Amino acid sequence: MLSYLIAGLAVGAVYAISAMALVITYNASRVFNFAQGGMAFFIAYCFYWLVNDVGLNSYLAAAIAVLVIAPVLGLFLWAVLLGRLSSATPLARLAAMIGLSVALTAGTSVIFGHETIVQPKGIIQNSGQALKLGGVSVSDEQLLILVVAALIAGVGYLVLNKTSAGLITRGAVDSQMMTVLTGTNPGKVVAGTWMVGTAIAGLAGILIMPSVGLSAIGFANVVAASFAGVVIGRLTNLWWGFFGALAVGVAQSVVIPYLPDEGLLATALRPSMPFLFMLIAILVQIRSAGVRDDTQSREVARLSTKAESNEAHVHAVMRDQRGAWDRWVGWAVLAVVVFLVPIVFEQFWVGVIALGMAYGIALLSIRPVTGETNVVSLCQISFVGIGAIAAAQLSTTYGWDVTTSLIIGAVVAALCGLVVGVVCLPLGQLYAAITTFAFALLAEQVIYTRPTFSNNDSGVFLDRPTIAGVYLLDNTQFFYFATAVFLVVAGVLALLRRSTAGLALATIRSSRVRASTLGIPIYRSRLALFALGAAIAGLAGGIIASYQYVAFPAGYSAALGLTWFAIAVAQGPSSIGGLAAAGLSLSVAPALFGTFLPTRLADVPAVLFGLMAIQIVANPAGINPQLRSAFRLLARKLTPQHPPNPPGDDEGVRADVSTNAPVPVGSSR
Amino acid sequence: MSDVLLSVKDLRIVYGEAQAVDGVSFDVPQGQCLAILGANGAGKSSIAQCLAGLVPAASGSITIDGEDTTKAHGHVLAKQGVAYLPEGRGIFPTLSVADNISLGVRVCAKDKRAAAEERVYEYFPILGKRRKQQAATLSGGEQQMLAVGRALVTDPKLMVVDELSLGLAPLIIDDIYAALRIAKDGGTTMVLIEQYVERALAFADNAMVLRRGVVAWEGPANGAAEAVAHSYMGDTAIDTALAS
Ligand SMILES: Nc1ncnc2c1ncn2[C@@H]1O[C@H](COP(=O)(O)OP(=O)(O)OP(=O)(O)O)[C@@H](O)[C@H]1O
Ligand SMILES: [Mg+2]
Repeated sequence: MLSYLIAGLAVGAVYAISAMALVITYNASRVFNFAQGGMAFFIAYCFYWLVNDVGLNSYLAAAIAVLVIAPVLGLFLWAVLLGRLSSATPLARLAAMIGLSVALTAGTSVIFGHETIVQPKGIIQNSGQALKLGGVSVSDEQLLILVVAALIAGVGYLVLNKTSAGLITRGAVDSQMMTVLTGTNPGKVVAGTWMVGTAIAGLAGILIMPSVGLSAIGFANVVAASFAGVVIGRLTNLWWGFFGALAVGVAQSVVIPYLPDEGLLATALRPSMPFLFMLIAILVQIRSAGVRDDTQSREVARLSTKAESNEAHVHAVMRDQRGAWDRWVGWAVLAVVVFLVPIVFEQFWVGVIALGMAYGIALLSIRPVTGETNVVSLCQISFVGIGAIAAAQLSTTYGWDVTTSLIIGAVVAALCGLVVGVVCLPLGQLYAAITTFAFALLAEQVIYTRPTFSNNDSGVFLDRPTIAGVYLLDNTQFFYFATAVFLVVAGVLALLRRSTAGLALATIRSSRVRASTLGIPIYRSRLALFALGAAIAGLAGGIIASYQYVAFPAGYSAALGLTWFAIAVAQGPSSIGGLAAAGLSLSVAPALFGTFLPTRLADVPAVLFGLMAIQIVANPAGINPQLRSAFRLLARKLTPQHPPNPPGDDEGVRADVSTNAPVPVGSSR
Repeated sequence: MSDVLLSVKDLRIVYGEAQAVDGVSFDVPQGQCLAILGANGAGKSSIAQCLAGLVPAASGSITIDGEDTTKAHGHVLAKQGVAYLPEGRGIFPTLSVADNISLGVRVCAKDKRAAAEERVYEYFPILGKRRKQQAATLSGGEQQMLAVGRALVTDPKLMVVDELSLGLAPLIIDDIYAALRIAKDGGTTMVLIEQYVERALAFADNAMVLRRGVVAWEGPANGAAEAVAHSYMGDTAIDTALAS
């Protein structure tokens, strides 16, 4: 028992300092660091490289990685991105951080090569027993982790409470304006916390590396557990966050002796611990005082209303430019594509494009969720996976007809969506993002790993469907099928927006208060949309799996889900054309890179997707609507019979669209 | 008349599409106090925030003590002796009284900070008994004393005070104005924004009435009462008067 406790403390200590870094950076900057796992991964890899390729002593390497590389990375990211996020909408902020996470993780693989290093050595290269405690041996690695965590906690406490730097930081957390008025540049304080936060995150990465391996997936566990700590600390309380995350680690370890030898509990309980802790914390918080998060803080609310009104302005300008004929342009492009693709391309590429359309269906599920209700759901990919698994089980194991299985798969996903939605929707946007991400990790580790579903990591067979008597063996036919489904789903979503229900939803989006005074059932409407999103995702999952002839659950990881979200938001989460483009790029870009470029560059598309998501900070409507708007302006200029607007007016419109970076707010001069 | 300490020329402040302040100019001589009056939304706080460097000027210029500060950052201005007391309470709510004051005196030179901290407690002895208390749990009056105290002891050359007396009892307002009076007699120049018109006019040397972002009237404080009443009657009343 004692040995499990010590092991748990050692792992929990890493979770704890990670949680600490999250809380510090969030409170100073109001930006939640979704990219912390990516940062930790990058810095741990730098450490590994310094030791194994450069040949430095491991202590020196750790010092360089944590005290030089990490702060420089933090400062750089602050200067180019993080420092600007405070004036972005909460959605743009989250999307940019998710994009950063994707770009950092993939970028690390591009820089250092993408083979997974299973058992890297940590700071202590030849680990052995350090001391014996009550008959239990403690390895020097565990001892090091415990000492480092205790040191960080202790020094953190002293710095925050006894030094003037700490006082200034606490002041900046309390009120940005008062910080300015007392003669301190709040930007410097925020930059400082990002440097410290990145350093702590990197240290955590280096410490945990020997036990989880050097792979992005290994780090997901640390991320989930530290998120749990942060939720326990209500995003703001450093010490609750610290000890909450520590408790998750301890709990994960001390249950080991009580687990049965096999069955669901044996494999599922430990990975579910972060999610369970999060759930309990949220339930307790709802019962006691209600859940608060960033959208409720007054300062942030003011900034975000401002950013939101900027964004609404951009949308309005773009709507005004809509010509009588240009809505047909999208259809024309589509018709040409559908006609040309099978003629121009070989079967392989037709297949890639068909898969892209199937991904497009999956991404359409983001529109009812993020586009309509503004919820950042990071578990859409889990619903895709669930739909795929369910369809494969029904069709292959139970012998149902494929088409029916696809539909039932969507229903199963919708039911899961209901359950997740019940938990996540009453929470604020940030909490919803955190909990849905935790659910995605949970699905990946608990559901997908069931032996029946994973089938020894080779997945379960799923045949292609027979539609109207045609068995879709041919990729061209499958392409038509996927495109048709995409159009039907898109049509349903478009009708939904125009219907009365859509108006109600628009009201909810723009003002919940107004919606509730109008008697619109906010919670039920949002829940219904969330379930609809899950159903669409589940349907897409079945279609993707049947195209590939296999429901391969490991393909629907939470990390990949972040990439999906990044590309979808970059293209514009409520633009149907944009989501189609996003889906296509998800399948075409890797195929292009895989076919024509060395495997070393296989992660470049993900880096690009991440960067595209980041740029929505400057360009909140997404790429596709922007392109369309640029196209409209061009068309308007080229159309002679169009009555020219008053010159001043036209100028204004153009300036607005091309430079629609948010207007600087507050103290940023 | 002594030198001009604060000079504002043709100041315009814009929020997105909305003009909050449209071409306001005024001068405040060294050691004097200007009261800015006007109805809600006239643009008073916007001017104050702009003077303090919290809101950018769309055009125009601000000169403080001979230096053009139009584009200066708020934290730089604070260090240069521009003290701004924001509308509401200018405190760090979750920090203790002592921490609030230690942060407040950081605009002073290092060797003067300890003495300045003690002076807050001399101005407002009641705060001395509450050093460890969280600022948010102070009474409204005590919070305002804390805000005023921490600004006063830094010996600012310009103080911009926004709606000091909002929600306070008359006795406490007296105390706070007495403290401001000491600072003014010590040579601090002031811009005073106040809804409590008589109070402001009794304290100030000159007054300026704003209406929808433009100067409607300006002159010595003792002649302002009538103009102010006119302005507070609201735009419709004036427009009707003009139309008839
Ligand atoms: N941050 C902001 N964003 C947009 N508009 C603003 C902002 N701050 C002020 N305004 C607008 O500018 C105008 C002037 O506001 P200001 O706060 O300066 O008025 P005020 O004279 O201080 O009013 P009050 O007496 O109510 O405090 C108002 O119409 C207000 O709505
Ligand atoms: Mg005001």
